[in-house]
Amino acid sequence: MAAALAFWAAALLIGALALPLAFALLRRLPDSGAGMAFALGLAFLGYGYFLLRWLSVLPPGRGGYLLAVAGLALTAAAVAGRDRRLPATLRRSGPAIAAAAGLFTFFFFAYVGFRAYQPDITGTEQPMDFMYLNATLGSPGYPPQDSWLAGERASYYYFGYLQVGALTEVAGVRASEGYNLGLAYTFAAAATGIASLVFALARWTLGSRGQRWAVVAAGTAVVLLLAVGSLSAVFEWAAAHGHYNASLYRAFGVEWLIPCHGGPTQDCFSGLLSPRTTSWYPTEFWFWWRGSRIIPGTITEFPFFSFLLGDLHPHVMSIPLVFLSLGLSASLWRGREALNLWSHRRPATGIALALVFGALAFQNAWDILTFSAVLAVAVVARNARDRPFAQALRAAASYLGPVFAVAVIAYLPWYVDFRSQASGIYPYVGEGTRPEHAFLQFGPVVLASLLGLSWSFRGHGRASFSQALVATAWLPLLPLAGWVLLTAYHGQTRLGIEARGPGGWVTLIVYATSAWAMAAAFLQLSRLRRPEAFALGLGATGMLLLYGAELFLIRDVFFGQSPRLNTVFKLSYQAWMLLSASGAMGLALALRGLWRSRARSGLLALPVGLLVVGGLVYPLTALPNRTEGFQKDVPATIDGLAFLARNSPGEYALTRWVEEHTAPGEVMIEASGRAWRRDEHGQPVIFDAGVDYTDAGRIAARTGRTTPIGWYFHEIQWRGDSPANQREFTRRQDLVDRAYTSKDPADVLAVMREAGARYLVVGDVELSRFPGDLMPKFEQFLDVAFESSGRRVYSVPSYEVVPTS
Amino acid sequence: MSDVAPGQEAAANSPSVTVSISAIAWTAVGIAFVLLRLGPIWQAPVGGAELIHLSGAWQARIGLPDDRFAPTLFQALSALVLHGTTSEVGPRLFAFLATATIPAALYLLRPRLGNAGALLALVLLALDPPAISLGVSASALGFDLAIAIWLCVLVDRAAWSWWAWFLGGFLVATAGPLPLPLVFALVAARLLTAAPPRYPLLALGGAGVSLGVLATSLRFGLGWDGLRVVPFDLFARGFDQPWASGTGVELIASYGLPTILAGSLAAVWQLRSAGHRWPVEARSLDLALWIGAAAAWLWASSQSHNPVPLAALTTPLALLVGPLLARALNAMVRADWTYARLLLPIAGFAATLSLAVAVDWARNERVGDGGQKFVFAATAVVAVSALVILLSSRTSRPTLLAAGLVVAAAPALAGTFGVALSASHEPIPSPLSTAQARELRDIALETVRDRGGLVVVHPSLRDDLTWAFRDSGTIVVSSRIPADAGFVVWPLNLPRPEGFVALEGRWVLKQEVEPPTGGGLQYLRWLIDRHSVQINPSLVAVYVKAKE
Repeated sequence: MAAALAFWAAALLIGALALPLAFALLRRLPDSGAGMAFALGLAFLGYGYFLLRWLSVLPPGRGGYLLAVAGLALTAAAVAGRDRRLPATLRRSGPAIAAAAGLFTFFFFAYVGFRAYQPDITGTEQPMDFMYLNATLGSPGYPPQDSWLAGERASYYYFGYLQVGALTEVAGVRASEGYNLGLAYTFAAAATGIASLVFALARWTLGSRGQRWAVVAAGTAVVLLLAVGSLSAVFEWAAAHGHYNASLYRAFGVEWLIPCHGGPTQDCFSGLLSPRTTSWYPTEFWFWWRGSRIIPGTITEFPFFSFLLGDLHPHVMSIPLVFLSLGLSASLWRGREALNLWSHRRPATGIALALVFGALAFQNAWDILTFSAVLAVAVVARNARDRPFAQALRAAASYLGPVFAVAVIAYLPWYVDFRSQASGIYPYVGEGTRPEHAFLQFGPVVLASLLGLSWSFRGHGRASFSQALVATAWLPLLPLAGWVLLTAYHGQTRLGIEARGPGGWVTLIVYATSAWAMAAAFLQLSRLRRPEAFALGLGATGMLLLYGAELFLIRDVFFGQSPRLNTVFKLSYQAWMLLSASGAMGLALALRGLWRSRARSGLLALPVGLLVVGGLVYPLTALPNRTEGFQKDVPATIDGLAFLARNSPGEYALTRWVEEHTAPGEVMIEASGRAWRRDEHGQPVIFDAGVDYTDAGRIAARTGRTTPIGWYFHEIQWRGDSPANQREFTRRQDLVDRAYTSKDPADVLAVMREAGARYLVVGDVELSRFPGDLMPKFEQFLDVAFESSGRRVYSVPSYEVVPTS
Repeated sequence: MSDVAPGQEAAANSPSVTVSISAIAWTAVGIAFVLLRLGPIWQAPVGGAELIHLSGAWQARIGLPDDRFAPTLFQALSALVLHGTTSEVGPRLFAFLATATIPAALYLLRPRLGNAGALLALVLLALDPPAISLGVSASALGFDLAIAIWLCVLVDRAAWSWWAWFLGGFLVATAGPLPLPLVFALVAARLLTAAPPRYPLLALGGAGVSLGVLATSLRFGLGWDGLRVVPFDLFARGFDQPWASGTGVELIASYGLPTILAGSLAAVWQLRSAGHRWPVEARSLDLALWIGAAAAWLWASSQSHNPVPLAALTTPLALLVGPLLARALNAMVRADWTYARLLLPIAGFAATLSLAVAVDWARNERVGDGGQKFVFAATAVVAVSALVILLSSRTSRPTLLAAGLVVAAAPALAGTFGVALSASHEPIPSPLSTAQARELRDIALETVRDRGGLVVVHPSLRDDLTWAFRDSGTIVVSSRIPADAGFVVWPLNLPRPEGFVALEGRWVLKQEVEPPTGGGLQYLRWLIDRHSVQINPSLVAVYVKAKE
């Protein structure tokens, strides 16, 4: 509890320090940016720390982070000292600041309460996330090292880990606690971020009299973003209790829940048939996982799933920053004067924009294009209110050009090391998303967003909407034309048309039409300076992302097996965020219409509202499943390594010893993860070469020290699938395995010398990967630096003649 | 910092006998300030940050790269001084000389703090145990206290010539972390009030800082070490290295409570007064932000073994409390003593009885029987009741200060004299390098001179022995005992090497003086008997080659 309180206090402190900055950048928002101050403060703190560590101004360790906080405080003081409206803003925003702090506190501790029942940092990609967190914390130099590839710097978008690390160190908690508390922070900051944005959009739309409905809209947005899940959970729940109708289930594309007859196949349920559950919720292990794999060959993750699973991934940690970027776009869009190059006479705002939007790439590279596009559209739309479109476009370019240039320059130290795995845009020529799957996955947020279309017809006539439809017709057509051209270029047009299937074409048409309609509505309302336009713009962007992911894919290392896996995953995640904001506006305002004037259009809100309620079945059933009904027989804790202390005290003690007694940056030899045994001739042979998603590299991951090689395929993902990389990574695996299988002490010492390692670990993983007498008797030629319950750390014997005078 | 009361200013300028008393008081306090720091120069054992940094300075002096050498100006001077002496006294004298200028700096701050305020601030600084320890230690932070106080003078007299700004910037950049809260406060206050100093002065200060960073990056001529902002480096190291035996919280309980409690009361008082005068000027914000930043540092260091944040907080608190204490003393003298004449002695007598019972318990390390408990409670109630009666009377309330001073004086003076006169039994400085460690070095040299062979030290003991084994020729640091070893210093938990015999004795290279952490009774016992602390020795085994 003390750790959670310290972390919470650190987050509040950083948020409070960022308030003057938020006021300066987001004053147009009704809460003056209070809800986004958490993300803003942490982004600025993280950037300052990164830059100053890179410049060697800040030292490693906790002190460096605290000095960065002092730097943030001085920046805030500089802004506050020049802000003559600060006292008035503070008075005006007092209730909003209190509300933001309260909302943050509620969501933070709610998540801590959940995570305390499931804190283990193990399984899925959590070891990888933990590795990056520890790498940013313990790197002796910056940019941080890659702990799973000794001697190399990290090649990943690790800004989120850096920020969670900053909170961890400022709070003074262990990294294994900081990991889980970082998730809690993200959950809470995401809630305040979207609440701040949607409250602003609703207040602008409804005016001060609509305050209550603005609060409803903000609350709905938080629910849509962080609580609603896949509608498949409704079917999961019913099926778990034995209620399934085969035709209905097939109609909704959940065949996998229908029991198998005549032997299990891929598309039917082959698990326990009766009973599938022992409680009111489905108790089948991780049933909720299927909710993130609705569309075959892809990942269809959504925020609730992310927080339930607990992988501290970049796309999760970026949610608060995404809403900060949207808040900045909304704030700029709301302004009056046109923005152009001369608007940078006072460069502070432009620099702040550059740092935030540059951080999007550093935090989750997929976000930079999407949300920079939102910014660009917002600026163009603002400029287009009082000048012809071409002029507006030129002015916007002159304004945004320097911003994006600085956004790249400011993060050059990171770009230098970053190797993107993306290798081009390709047309998608596989089976399209079936409409029923699209409905299960995105139904609530998409339909809620579409409710906003009704604003276009209210008092403006259909004529102007028709004009806007014509003006935006290129939006759905251009991507389609691009797809046709690209498929033709690759000679796959026929394949692409046929493979998509009828269902895929229906989904495509629905996505295209929705995006088109919302874009037209945005254009129409934006011309009229109607504040609702921004929400429709967000909805249109979200639909375009879903549409685009049906037509194109970013080629990466998964291209051969699951070509559009990452494209659908990352773009649909962004779409979920955008549609949550847009949908909350649509739903809340429709409900308001129904409530106040019994408007017919409001009637549509009822079925959509019901769908949202259906989407809440997912969290209601998945939460108790994940936490085993909140009745685990071990004490609740937030320490992600507590499981290790319980299950393997020797391994835990070894890990802590390494953490406390070896220098940051030290190279440790630990098992590569490949499993060995003796063959019939008594020779050591590999019988299992799989290392990814296992406990390979766990000492490096848990301590931030480095090891020659960790997860092989992940390194390939981060650095490219080149023959040179394959050779190098395999060489490292062979080198490490040689240290554990060689019988020649000189050879082991030569391996350690070549790897630059002083220590060699023999813990649980080594004992299981090199069983029997495979390992040499290290104690005969190495020093035993640590021992507990048979787990040891060996060190190379040292001999040094030291002068003392 | 508080304004000068007109009456006090007039009194300070008045050519009456008051001036003489003032002069006598300044002289007396100045002498006390100096005398309290003289003892530790020769008597205090090498410990805490000093042990780490003296080891680093020695390594620098013999030309060995070592991370323990933190290139502050003081550390560079230490390394230079160690060319002429192997004793820690030389570097300590440098620190002492710098610290001894603090009374003069406080004297110059009279226009800001008032004559009596500055004098009382000096009294508080003179008696502050962490400040005493730090002010004469040969750690890399030897100049820090003096720099912080002189920086106040510099800012207070902003019209000083350009060289002062340049020198100030240079000294801050080549100092340890103690002045950082003040620098933060000065910058933040000027940013908040949008009242920066003139650009030429800023530029000169910046040039001084740049030169300082260049000097520290070049390690004062020992070689380029990459960009080093040494105050930041030491700030960070304070969180990781053992600069004291106790944690921040334990050090506050041991040495900081009187000052911090008085400072907190003063801060509340000052905040209430400032509440009516918003917005405030930059100068008025300085002290508040200085205290705030130092308190935040102390808070963040609560679980670190670092006494510097405590000294960093007690220094500005002394400047805050001094002037307010002067006003409070004035009010106390003028208060209505009608009831206090009777009630204060009653309270004092009752409290003494109560304390006597508690002291008895503390000596026996257990709470007494029911009768004793009753006596303790009854006398305590009488004492508290007498004080509450005084508190309830507006005109008599200031007389409570007398009781407060007496209560605060006991722990404060115990700490002061403990650190000043008997530092080997205090949690600061600690962990200590023992005198026995140096004796061991002499025995080792004698043994290998008589019998031949090498002096061999286990790598885990290497850092502990750097200072004790200085100037000992060549030794071998090895994890396995070489065949030609003659004298071996080895961890106690490792088996005795064959062919060696143990040198009889209880060999302690380093020892930690634990602060009292066992509750109120242990704390009380420590107050009356400074030797009651627990001392944890780091024992080692010593072997010599067996005669064949």
